[in-house]
Amino acid sequence: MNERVAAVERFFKTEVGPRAARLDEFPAAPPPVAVGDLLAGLGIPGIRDGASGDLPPPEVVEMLWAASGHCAGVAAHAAYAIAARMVVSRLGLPLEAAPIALALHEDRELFPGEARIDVAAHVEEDGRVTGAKRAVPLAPCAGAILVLARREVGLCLAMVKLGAGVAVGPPIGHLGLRAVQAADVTLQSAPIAACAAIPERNLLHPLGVLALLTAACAGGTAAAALEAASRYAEERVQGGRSIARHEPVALMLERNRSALRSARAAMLEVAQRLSTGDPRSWSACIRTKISTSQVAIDATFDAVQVMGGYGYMRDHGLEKRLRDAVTLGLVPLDRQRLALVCADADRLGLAP
Amino acid sequence: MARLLEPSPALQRPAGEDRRLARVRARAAEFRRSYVDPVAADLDRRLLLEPDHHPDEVVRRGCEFGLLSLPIPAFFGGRGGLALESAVALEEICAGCAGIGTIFGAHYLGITALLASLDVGLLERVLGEIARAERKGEPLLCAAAITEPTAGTDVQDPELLPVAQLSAYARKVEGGYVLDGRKVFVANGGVARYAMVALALDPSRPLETMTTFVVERGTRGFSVGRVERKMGQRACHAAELVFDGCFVPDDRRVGAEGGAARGVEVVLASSRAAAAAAATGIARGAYEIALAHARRRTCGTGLLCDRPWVQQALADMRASIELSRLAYLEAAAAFDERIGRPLLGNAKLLGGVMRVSAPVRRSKAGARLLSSERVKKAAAREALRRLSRLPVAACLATSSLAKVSASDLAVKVCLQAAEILGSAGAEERERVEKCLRDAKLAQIHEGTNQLARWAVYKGLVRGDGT
Repeated sequence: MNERVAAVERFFKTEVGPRAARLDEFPAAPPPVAVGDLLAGLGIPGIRDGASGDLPPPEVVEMLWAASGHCAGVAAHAAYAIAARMVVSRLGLPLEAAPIALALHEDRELFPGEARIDVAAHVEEDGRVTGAKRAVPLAPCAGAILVLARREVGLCLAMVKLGAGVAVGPPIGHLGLRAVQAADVTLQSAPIAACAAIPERNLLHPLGVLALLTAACAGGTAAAALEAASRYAEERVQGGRSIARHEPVALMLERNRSALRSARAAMLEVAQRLSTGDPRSWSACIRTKISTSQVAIDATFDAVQVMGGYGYMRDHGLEKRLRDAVTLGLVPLDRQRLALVCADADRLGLAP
Repeated sequence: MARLLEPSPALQRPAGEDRRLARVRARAAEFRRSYVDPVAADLDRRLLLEPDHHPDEVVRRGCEFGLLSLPIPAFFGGRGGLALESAVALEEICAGCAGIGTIFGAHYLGITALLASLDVGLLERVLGEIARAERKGEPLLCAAAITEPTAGTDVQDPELLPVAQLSAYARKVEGGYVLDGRKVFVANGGVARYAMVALALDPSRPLETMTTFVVERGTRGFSVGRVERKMGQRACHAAELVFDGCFVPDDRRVGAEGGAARGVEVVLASSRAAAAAAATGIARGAYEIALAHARRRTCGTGLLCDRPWVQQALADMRASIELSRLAYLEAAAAFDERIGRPLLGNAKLLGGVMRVSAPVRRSKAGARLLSSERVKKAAAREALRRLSRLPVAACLATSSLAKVSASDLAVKVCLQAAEILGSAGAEERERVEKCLRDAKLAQIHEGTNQLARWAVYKGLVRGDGT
């Protein structure tokens, strides 16, 4: 583990982990700016409000994996911020100091099949954007929102600043990742600060980056869950011996450990390809996410199972990891939709 | 929406039983629609911050539908249903809110613990009181306290009980028993009027001396400790019960000393079928949400339900629910036919009791007689005699099989439902995430699925081919 990653892990262990339970208690969680405070001003490059557009992806993956072991919500907050900045950098749009929120989803299927993309948000003739975006992560604390919208010809990512024409709704309660506040965003002739066309096939880039970084968060939280379950299994005695010695439990734990190790190796390999700028790596990122999500969900479910009743109770911290892993398996898209996006892209020869 | 999942023709049972079950199902469904569905989401949110809160008003409404006295025999004033009817009602309620459903499920568990003992004095006193209170609109709840801080799995299996690390005990004193120790994760623990508590009399011989006591709320030396904050099924308390020099008189001992280990097996043979029914209900709730979402979600020029992958997923979910339902109905019916009715049928003792009219049974003299040591021991001998001839292990295996299958399928169905909703599946406002949180407990309570699989092995596999 390199020094930067180690510094991030130390930071999360000492500053974030102890606050994880409190941050989980939506709506009692502190306002989003407190999360930003946790990330900012500590001299840790790469994590501070996502100012890491130029950090190598494998290092970002390692950081997020390590950080998620302490609080997947705050790590995911960083993941969203970093992903948005990577997208903004690649499109040549101006970077903002405050987090940038990436608004993709609406109240309709984004990928309705046959490699089409369906968005209702649109850029009007006067160059302003109108539409409604659903459950936008970081919207309540963002300085700008990158909105996927339709232009007269094709799609674009339009950057709008919070203010006139932009209404951010109240934070939406989620199953997990509660440190990431998300809200519905309504745009009514919102002025566009900057805009970049994005051919449909190139939507695989933001999707792929988000997929990879959220997969890293899922893997990290699942690994920590397994570790906690393993410790418990060593201590808990049933049937006259520690339950770690019972074959079904030993099997459950080892099976998940092996799967996670493989998932981590695959993720780092894909992240290395992403750092070369290879467009074919974007769908590879999505495929890695599909498999890692399942591994993480299985691992956290089994970890809670090993801990039995204690695993199900909030005060022991393990059920939170299950909720976080499931949530990470559904964002930015669930596995089914991600798989169909990859299948459509390959089949129609649209994969870059 | 509840009509969507009427049992298929393949599940038809004898006509009379069908009509009776259909009535139970319809009443429970009406209770769910009227009083559970409107409050489930807000209740879940409130309980995140106030775990001590109890939805008393909803449970009180259950009285109007006879839900609290459902498994109480008619001659004690109840509805006369057994495991099957209780299970069917639980499926319906849990399709709306598993937490509220589990309040009733845990209540039925306590009742079953008493019924299995044939202790007519306590049956009359406790079950009679519950039935009478229900008619007045007053919900009196039961709980069953088995799990201890360092003994969960061990106390649920007689092969493991001898090595269980027990920390709660009872000791015999003049006129009764003194209870000391803690029980944890007790469903309804914080709100039950009567807790059926299983404690060993001799720490070195827990299997032979485990005894059940009825402890009434407010008894000196008995208190409720922490109420856990759970991931799901929040409406049902999981509480710690603390016994500190708690004296209970002899007449509050259930059956004979040492009868609890056998009693636990009988109770689990019924309650795991109920747990399977609850899991089926949870799966159904998630399925209903996903189906409604798919039918209204715009997808290109059509709807999400037009997508073949969604159609396949919904069909898969429906198949899972039907399989779970088959399993729990079979397990509950097997319990009723092979244990419930033979145990509670016209045994010599109970037959005699049944012939005594209710006012006489409830008079002071009648109550004294029924609670006397002589009648208790006679009832315990009769219960033991009957149970020794009944296929408890086989029924326990069948209900364990149902519980394992239904709970695993419920988790699978809930995850599929969440995926149909996509990223919205994680949003509280869509409600499917609650189903998933509720479903996970089904793999843990009433004995973890690992323990339940062992019961399946012992009851159904180990003897195969021999």
